[in-house]
This record gives sequence, structure tokens and C-alpha cells, in this order.
Amino acid sequence: MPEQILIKRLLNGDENAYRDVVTDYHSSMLYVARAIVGTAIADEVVQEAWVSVIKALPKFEGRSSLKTWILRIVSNNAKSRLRKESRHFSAGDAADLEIIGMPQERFSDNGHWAVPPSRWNIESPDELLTSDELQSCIRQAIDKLPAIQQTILSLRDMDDMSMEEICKILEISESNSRVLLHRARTKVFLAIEKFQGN
Amino acid sequence: MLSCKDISHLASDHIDDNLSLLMKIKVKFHLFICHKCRDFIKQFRTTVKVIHQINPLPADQEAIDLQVQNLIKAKQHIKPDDVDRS
Repeated sequence: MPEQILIKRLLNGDENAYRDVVTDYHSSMLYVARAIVGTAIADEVVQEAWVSVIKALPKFEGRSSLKTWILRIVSNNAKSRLRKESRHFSAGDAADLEIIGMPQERFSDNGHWAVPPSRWNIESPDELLTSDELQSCIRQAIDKLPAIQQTILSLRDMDDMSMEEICKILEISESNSRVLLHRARTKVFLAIEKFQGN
Repeated sequence: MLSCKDISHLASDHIDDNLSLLMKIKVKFHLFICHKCRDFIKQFRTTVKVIHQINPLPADQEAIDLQVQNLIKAKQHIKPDDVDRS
């Protein structure tokens, strides 16, 4: 459905339009809230954000997609909640102690593979996804990611948002978000590799 | 010349086409001569495709219904003066 029609229906208080946006956007909103305020109060922040969305919708100018605009409201509400609690948001420093990608022990001192990637029995994404066991293994790997990595992975690789939009929503630098995305993808890669090896 | 470790660090930027021209050439040269890194990049690309295709967990219908009802209530209580003009 074109976004303008959806917005018109939302402005008219159409229950089905509310249901559509809640179904489509709620989990992304939760990811953004969790990355900023943590899991404990993320639900509360998202509920407050929905009310802010309904209040602000008549002033929506369409300079970004509706989803990006809604996620920015979540981000702003979450950050203002942090300020009220005298906490601050940190996406972490890309240069922190966590390794950027593959574990160090996979490489020899000269940077060549010491433990190269093992051959995968199943190679195509479609075939990989036919295994319920592997799907659950991938979900577990994603669930174990730090909240900020989960959020970036979800917005970028599941929701297809651009890095530019993600950086605007979370107000973090592109270089930092790219490192966090790479770490998240590498952890999922390692989970698939381990599954294939068993 | 880039090492295999460098390639593993650059994998996401390589598959997202986010490298400078010079770095693209360096990565391509390494991949030309290193079959282990070719395998790695192929598998890494598959990983990203799998993440993209993984079915989202079914939304909690009860939570959605509750949220929709809250929105309807909120909408009914919003007066024209309440519209956020920020």
C-alpha cells in the first residue's frame, strides 16, 4: 500500500491501519529501544513512542520514510528517558577490546589462515534455511548478540535499511556502525560454520 | 599486500561494496590468489543472504491487539492542541 494512503488511514484513526503499522514496525521499534535503554524498559519506551507517533503524525512531512521517522521518534524518546535517569547512550567504541571479526586464533602470526573456513555441506541460502535446526541456531546466535549489534543487523540485513538511515536513527558514526555490523555478521557466520561442522 | 586476516576484517565492506577503488583492487587481487579467502567470502556472502531471508519470529498477536487498542484510546484523547509541533 502506498505510504501516503497508509498515513491518511492512520490520521483517520483506521484500526486496520494501526494494526498494519504495529505488526510491521513494532519489532524494529523494540530493537531500537533495547539498543538505547536496555531490555527492561524498552517495552515502556516503545508504548510511549507510539503515542508520540500518533500525536506527531499530522506534522509528518515525508522527508524520510514513515518507518525511519517512527524509529527516530523511538530513538529520541529512548534517549530522553536515559537523560531523565541521568544515564547516557553509548554504542560502544569500534576500537574497543572486542575483535573486529574472525577470532585471532584462526590466523597465524603472518596473517594467513591457521584454521581456514571449513567446507560447508550445504551452500545455498535456500537450502540452509530448509533446516529448522539451523534456523533456530541462527536465531540463537542473533539473540546472543549485544543489543546494539542486534539492532544494526536487524535494520540492515533483515529490514534492508541503508546504513545512512540507521546512523541517523541511532545517531552513531557510519564507521562505528559498520564495525558493529561486521561483528554481528561474523558471529552468525561462526554459528553456521559450527552447525555445518557438527 | 593484504593478508587473509585483513580480508576477514574487510568482508562486510567488500560484499556491501563499501571499499575505495584502491582497496577493491587489493581485495580482488588477494581473492584471485587465495582460494581459502575465496571460500570464506563466498560463505560470508551466503551468511548475509541467510540473515536476510530468515523468517521473522511471528509477532505476539496479543501484544499487537493491546497496542492497537492503546493507540485507538490515545487517538481519541488527543485534542488538536496536543499535536506535537516539534
